[in-house]
Amino acid sequence: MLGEFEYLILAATVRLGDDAYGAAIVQEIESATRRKCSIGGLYTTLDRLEAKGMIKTWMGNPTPERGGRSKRMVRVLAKGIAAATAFYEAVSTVSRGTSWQAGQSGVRK
Amino acid sequence: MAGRAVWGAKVSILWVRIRDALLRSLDPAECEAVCGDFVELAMTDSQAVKSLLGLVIRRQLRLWREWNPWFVLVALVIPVCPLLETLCNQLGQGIWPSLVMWLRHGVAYRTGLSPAAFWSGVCIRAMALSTWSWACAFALGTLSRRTIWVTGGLFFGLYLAFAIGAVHPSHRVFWLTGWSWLPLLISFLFVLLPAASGIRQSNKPQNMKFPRVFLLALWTVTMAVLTLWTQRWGQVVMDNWSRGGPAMTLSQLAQNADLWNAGPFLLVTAVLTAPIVYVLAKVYLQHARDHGVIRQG
Repeated sequence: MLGEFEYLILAATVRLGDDAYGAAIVQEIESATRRKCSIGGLYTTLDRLEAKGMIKTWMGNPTPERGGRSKRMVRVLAKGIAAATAFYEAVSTVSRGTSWQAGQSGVRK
Repeated sequence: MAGRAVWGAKVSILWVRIRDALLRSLDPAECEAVCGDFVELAMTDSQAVKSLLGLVIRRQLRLWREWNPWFVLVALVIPVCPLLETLCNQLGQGIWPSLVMWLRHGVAYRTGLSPAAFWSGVCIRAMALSTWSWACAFALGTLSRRTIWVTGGLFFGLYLAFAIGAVHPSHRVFWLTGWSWLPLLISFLFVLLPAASGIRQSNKPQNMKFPRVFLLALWTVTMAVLTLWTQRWGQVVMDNWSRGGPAMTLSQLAQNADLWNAGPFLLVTAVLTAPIVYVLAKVYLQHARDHGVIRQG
């Protein structure tokens, strides 16, 4: 089963499509979670996901806004999509009928 | 206000240096990608350092799962450090009586050697110590480039542990005397400084060319042979003294040269010379492949 951060990376990568790379994924995760995302943690998790065969990374073209430096592009593979789908379905299933409102957490009647 | 601005600038430079040092330990491609991300995300130097620390530590731990850093640790760091410390101690103890006699009483300490022979021996041992420190550190930097922070830190740490531990607790009352701090001063001048230079020079690609490494190895072997020769002087001098002979000169010592009876010191010179010879072999193989003398694979 995927971890939370791994799922966030896969979801952000799919949302970004062809523009999925290190800094863009960080910005996508930070805007969704409203928490800081570490570059170091991102790259370590990208290595782990690549080792599991869920993503593919490669060095992209340099751009002026990056000081002429290349970016590490990311694409989700079929295995990653399957794992993310399983994670999403598991979270959806276990969350069905639950309410997270303050003072009222529990199963909705 | 001006003082605070200067202090702020110094701290900023410090963060930049730490960040650059951490980036150098990454793969070139990863380093470029991470640097670009820092620029694009407009991260400050301190934020970049905090972000990098975890990544660098994880990368280092991954490197230590391979055999190379362990080989360097076991074959180079662990045997070389105590040997360098022992030679440094011997050099200090050899010099100390002569220094005291000359500085306090204005007379030469009788060693059975002529003054020229005695100081030649000291110079040879000091140069050999510097050469071995530089060459072993150069080999360390060459063989463990990606893990140099850990292996280099262990090299210096282990050496200092032996050097400071060589002063026995019962002699702490003598800590302020020259007898105690002279070996530490010799350690700094003839071991630590050359070793730091060796590691620094190993980072420069032009120093990894075959002719330069060959000359370095040749010089190291020459110093090893000369030091083996000086190791025999003690026995030769004792034999001469027991016959009532005068102080021996360099030419008389040269006639009594018997390198192969240096006993265990042969093994010491072999261990200290082996790292640079190993690097020479590696560089030669690469040189031969590049020039088509040996086929790749």
